[in-house]
Order: sequence, then structure tokens, then C-alpha cells
Amino acid sequence: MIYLDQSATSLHKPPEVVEAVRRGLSGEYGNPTRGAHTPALRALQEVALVRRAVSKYFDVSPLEVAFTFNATIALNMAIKGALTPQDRVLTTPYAHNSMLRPLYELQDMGMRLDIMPLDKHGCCPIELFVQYLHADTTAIALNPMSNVTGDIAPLDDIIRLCHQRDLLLILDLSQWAGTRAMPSVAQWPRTLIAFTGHKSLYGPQGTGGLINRGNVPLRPMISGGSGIHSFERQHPSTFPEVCEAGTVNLPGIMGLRAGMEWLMTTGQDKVQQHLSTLRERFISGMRTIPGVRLYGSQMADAGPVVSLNIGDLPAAVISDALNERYNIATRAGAHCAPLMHQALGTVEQGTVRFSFSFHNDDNEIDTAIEAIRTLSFQ
Amino acid sequence: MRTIIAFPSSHAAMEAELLAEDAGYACRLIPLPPAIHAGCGIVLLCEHSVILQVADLLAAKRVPTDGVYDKNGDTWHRRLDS
Repeated sequence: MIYLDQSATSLHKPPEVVEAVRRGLSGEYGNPTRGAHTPALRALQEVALVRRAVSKYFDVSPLEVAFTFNATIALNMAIKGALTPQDRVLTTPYAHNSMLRPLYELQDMGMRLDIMPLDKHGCCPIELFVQYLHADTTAIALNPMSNVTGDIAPLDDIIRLCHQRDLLLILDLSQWAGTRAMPSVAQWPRTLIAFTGHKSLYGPQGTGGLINRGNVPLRPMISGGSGIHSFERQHPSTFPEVCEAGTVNLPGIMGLRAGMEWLMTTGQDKVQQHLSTLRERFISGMRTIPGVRLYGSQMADAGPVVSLNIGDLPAAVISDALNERYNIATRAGAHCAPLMHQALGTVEQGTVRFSFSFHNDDNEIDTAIEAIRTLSFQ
Repeated sequence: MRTIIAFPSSHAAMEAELLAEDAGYACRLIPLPPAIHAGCGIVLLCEHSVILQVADLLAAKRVPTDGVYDKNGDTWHRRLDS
């Protein structure tokens, strides 16, 4: 199997991840926030060490990190916990449904939602953000790397813009995290960052989190046991407890820590360079095949994602042929990003998405290129 | 004399223990004494001689605390400056 669907999940995990999850299930760990006996404290220490690994990677403080079961839950907590019907929010067509649907729910309650268009290259330059901001805009909700085309938004500039205008920034780093470093900016605005563990951070499914820079007040979206203030009727609003009702997925986040440490040991720059090389090789090959239509700007510094079609063939037909005839895993369809497909004109056809991981190599890319070449002549 | 630092959350308590350990202070987490009211059910027990250094370290790292307590006889006293 040649696995080219990293944007959906990473298939191959480092062995350290598997070992960490096994260790989490080995009978050593109690409930990390319930009690002060040895297994409970041992578990609590593991949680703290994972929080430290996440904070090191994202360059934040450990207590600014909360664990959730995926990025979708984190985005729901950020959007429904921080925004109200009195807010006005700007977003882009890069937004995934995990961001769009919570925003739409708030829009139905009265919140104003502005969706800026893409430019003629399929990008969202900073000038468009400035153009579509209103005097009463209070937040920008952004997926800075399209999960359809890999195109990226100018995150550094957007961070500065939010800082200058005192806007809340809600980031979906599901695609970004693990594929490239965080932007280096002097001052961050109030920012809520959602991430998932199972894609390019190489952790298990069922892991992710929300990072709260600037102590953004959040209302709890899920209430329940917190291990503290047990006699109060309401769930604590302190962070990270406000996002961590119930028992954390300890074996999962232990695996997440192992994945992130593997990533940091390997080197984020080295990973990014490898992904960029694979992407460029794939795009170069696709450009030699008549009838292949590539989507997005194909900018040099885009993320490790390429979407294409062959003529008018439905994307699902191509993806199925790749799977059945060539044992190549890709994803066809809308990729939960409806606004991108409206912008690209692929609502009916969908696209075939190829997304790359550090574990792919040149031979796999060349095999995929030849498979597409063969299919294009049939 | 026993001296403890209380916390609003168990995550803050554990982060405090790790920071203290990193800095070479011999501290450990114990259950919250019944006479003390704090958000979290565990506290950090430290040597009396290093408690101010540990408290300063936690403040510098922005770890929230719920006060420093000394035990004198059978009674816990909250330090006025904590």
C-alpha cells in the first residue's frame, strides 16, 4: 500500500508511539485528576509531561494547553465558548466544516459572519483580510492551510493584524501542525489554537487539544467531573479544566507525546523540507500529463497536499481506481471544505487529494505519477 | 514545621512539582489537609527552608497557587503574604 492520505490521518506511527500507548495501558496508571494515591499521581505526572511536550512544540506555557479528543471538539469549545451572538467574525474559504458549522450555529443565533473570497490564484493575501474587516469585527477564525489545496494563508501577518486590532484569533492547525514550524512573531494576540494529534503530529486518533494564549475566557461546552470544586453546581471556568470535563485519554496522549518528541527529534525543518520535496516532485510529474487539472495556486511554500482531477471524470472514480488497481490510498470528494469547492468549481466533481507524510519516498511518488498517467489515457 | 502550597487545580499542582524538581527542590504532592480549603485536592509539601524560593519560582512561571500554609502544632496557618 502506498498511503497518500496523511491529511486524513497518519497511517504509519513511529514505534515509540505504539510503545507509549502500550505503556499507558500497562496497569501503572490511575485516573490523573481523581485522588492522590500513587497510580493517580503517576498518571497526573504523565499528563503534565505531555502538556510540557505540547507547550514546547507550540512555544506556549504548559498550563495554556488543554486536551480534547480531536480538533473538532477543540474548535467547538473555542467558538461556542468564546464567541457570542454579539460578535462579528471573519473567516475564509479554507475553513473546514469543523470550524464552519459551529460558526454557522452562532450565525443562526445572531452572530455576524463574514466570509472573504479568495483571489484569482486561490489565495487569501493579507490585503483581503484588511479589506474584509469591519470596524466591529471582533475575531478572525482561520484554517491557515487548506486541506484541499495545501495553500497557506499569511499567518504571521494575520497574527500581527489581530494584535494591532485587538481581535481574537481562532486557529485550526489540524493541517499545519507537524508540517511546518509555528510562526515566530514578537507578540501574539488573544489566540485559541485547535490541533489534532493523529495527523502530522503522529499521535493516536482520539487526541488533540486547545491552546489558550492570553487567557481568553471560555464558557464550558461540556460539563462534568473536574476533580476540583466538586460542590459547585457549575463546571469550573478555569483553564484547562474548562475544556477537560471527564477523564482524559491518557494512553492516547502518552502516544501523542511520543509522536511529538519523535517529530522534534527528527526536526521540524527536516520534515518540512522532505514534504516539500515530495510535493514538488509530484506536481512536476502531474504537469507532464495531459488532461490533469491541478487546483490551487501551487505556490512553492504550500503544505503537503495536492488536489487534482482528470478531465471530467468524477474524483471518486479516479480514487477508487488508484486503490483497486495500484494499491494507492488517496481521498476523493469534498474533504469537508464546502467553500473551497465552491471557489474551485468542483462541487459536483470533487477532487482527488494526495497528501504526503515523512514516511513517503520518491519511489512512491513516482509510482503514483505513473498510475495517474496510465489512468489519464484510459 | 510542615509547609505546603495549595493550588486551584491538580494540573497546576503537578506542574509545580515538576518545576520544583527541575530546580532541585525536594518537594512532593500530598493530599489536601482537611483543615484547608482549596480548589484542588492535592498540595505541594516542601521543606520550610525553601518554600519562598519555590513560591517565587511558581510565580515566575505563572503557575496559579491558592496560598502557602505552615503547620504549627495541630493548626495550619496561611501566610499573610501568600
